[in-house]
Amino acid sequence: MKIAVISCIHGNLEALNAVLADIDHQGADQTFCLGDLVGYGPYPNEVVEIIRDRQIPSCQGCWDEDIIDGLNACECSYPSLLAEKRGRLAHEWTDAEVTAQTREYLAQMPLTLRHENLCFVHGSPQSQHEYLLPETSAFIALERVLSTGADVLFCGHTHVPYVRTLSDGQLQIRVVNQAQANAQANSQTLTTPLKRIINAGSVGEPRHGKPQATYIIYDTLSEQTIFREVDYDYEKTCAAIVSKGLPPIFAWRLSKGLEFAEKADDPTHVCER
Amino acid sequence: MLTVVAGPCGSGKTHWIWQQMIAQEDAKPLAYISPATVGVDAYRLSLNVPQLQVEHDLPETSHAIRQAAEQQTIYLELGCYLSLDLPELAKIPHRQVAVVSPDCFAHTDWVRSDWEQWADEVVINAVPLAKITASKTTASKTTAIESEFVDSKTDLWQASLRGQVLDPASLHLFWQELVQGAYGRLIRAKAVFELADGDAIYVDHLPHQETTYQDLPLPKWLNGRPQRFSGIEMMGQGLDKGAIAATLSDCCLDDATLKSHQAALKESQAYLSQEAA
Repeated sequence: MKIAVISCIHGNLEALNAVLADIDHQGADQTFCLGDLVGYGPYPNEVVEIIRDRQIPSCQGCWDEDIIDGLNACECSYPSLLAEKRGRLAHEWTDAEVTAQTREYLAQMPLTLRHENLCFVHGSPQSQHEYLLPETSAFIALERVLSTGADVLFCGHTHVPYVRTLSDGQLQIRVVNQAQANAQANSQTLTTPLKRIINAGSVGEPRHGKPQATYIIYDTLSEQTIFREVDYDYEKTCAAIVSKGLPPIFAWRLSKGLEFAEKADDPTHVCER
Repeated sequence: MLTVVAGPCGSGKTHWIWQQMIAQEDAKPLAYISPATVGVDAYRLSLNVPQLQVEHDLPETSHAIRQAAEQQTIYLELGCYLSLDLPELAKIPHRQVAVVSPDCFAHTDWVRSDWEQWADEVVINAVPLAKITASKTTASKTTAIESEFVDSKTDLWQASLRGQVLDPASLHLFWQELVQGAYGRLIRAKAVFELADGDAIYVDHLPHQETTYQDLPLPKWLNGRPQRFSGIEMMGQGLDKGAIAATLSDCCLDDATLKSHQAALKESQAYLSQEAA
């Protein structure tokens, strides 16, 4: 079975349409979405409408959650004052723009999706806000995959696609029962088979230095991952960003493949949200 | 003695002046004038030449200029966007020095001849200017001897940042956007910034070159808003000055954040002192 995994669309309608056309062309049997349908981009309602109408299973992203629950970010969401100010501005604009229908859809999105031995999350199984970077410690990475019970964990949120293979994983769990007089520790060692984390990149807000939208095709039989880079009319999205009253710097960053504001680069940070 | 120093953008005029100042053998007071700037170069020079007197412009009358030039060694640095016609100095003894880079001469001979016509002395600075192609289509003398970087469409923007403290990560983000053209085509930018860790840095961006960052030899400022110079000067084409000012403002710490940073830094310093003891 050939599945397509898309993530981080961020209200970029042009990019989403181009990617969905490419998915159709690739002949994927099923598409999964890892959330962040809204935020920064100019067409949050239209993007949600397409995902809903096409019945694409989608888990909730951090931006989707923030629009429902309000901003409550850990420091990893905003690595600088400037990024924070831009993020807040984008949040306020999106919050004012989204319709009741859009809000309703975002609110009912699940945090995780499962399909056989595959699990789909936005950031990590722990939080939509947590970044699983390629450099995140192997212990944390493995723990996050094991917590899902799946063999392959699909995530987004970093906006940079990657495949990480966790082979020969070994976790040692030690439980100390202080209530017991001798307070002895019970240890258990688990050896895990090969696990994978696959990041799908970003459809609407790529951060790989090019404006092309990215997503992945995964073959469940061969376990092969294909990264797709899709050209789209990003200048149209840039024009819409400006005409709809979003900061012009968002358009410039999108055209450079630089992402709008967020930039996670600390692999040791564990999200506290 | 009055020395007027001019040259293309980024040719090393201030560096040459600094070299002359530290090599001066007589005891005459030193003065530096850089008209129409907020004073980034003046501040850097004053850190290296402590007795330096900094003025914003020449005295208003010829008599006062003559008197000052007799009593002091004055360097008047003309930014590459300023006119090189100096009628007020016509009857005052002075020396005109052009500081240019070797690259200027590599591209066009007439640049050299124009500079030689204007200057009493042409100094070829070792500081390379990466790529210069002069345009003969420009009319005024100022632009005629300048490089491709400066013409009638050139925008200047500068701001004093005194008292402002910047978040380093935000500054990095802003500077990358600035030099990559997010706010218009940047030709030259230089600045002194106060950072959240109490240090001050000098940032310099020359055409076609990587930005350089230099820690300034100043004590950490850990008590309130810094009461010392900081500022930014830039030159470019089609600069969105409003967006630049607003973005820079968004990089600055508010009072509460600054207070919190400084408290943490002082605590850390006290701990390190205790450890050392």
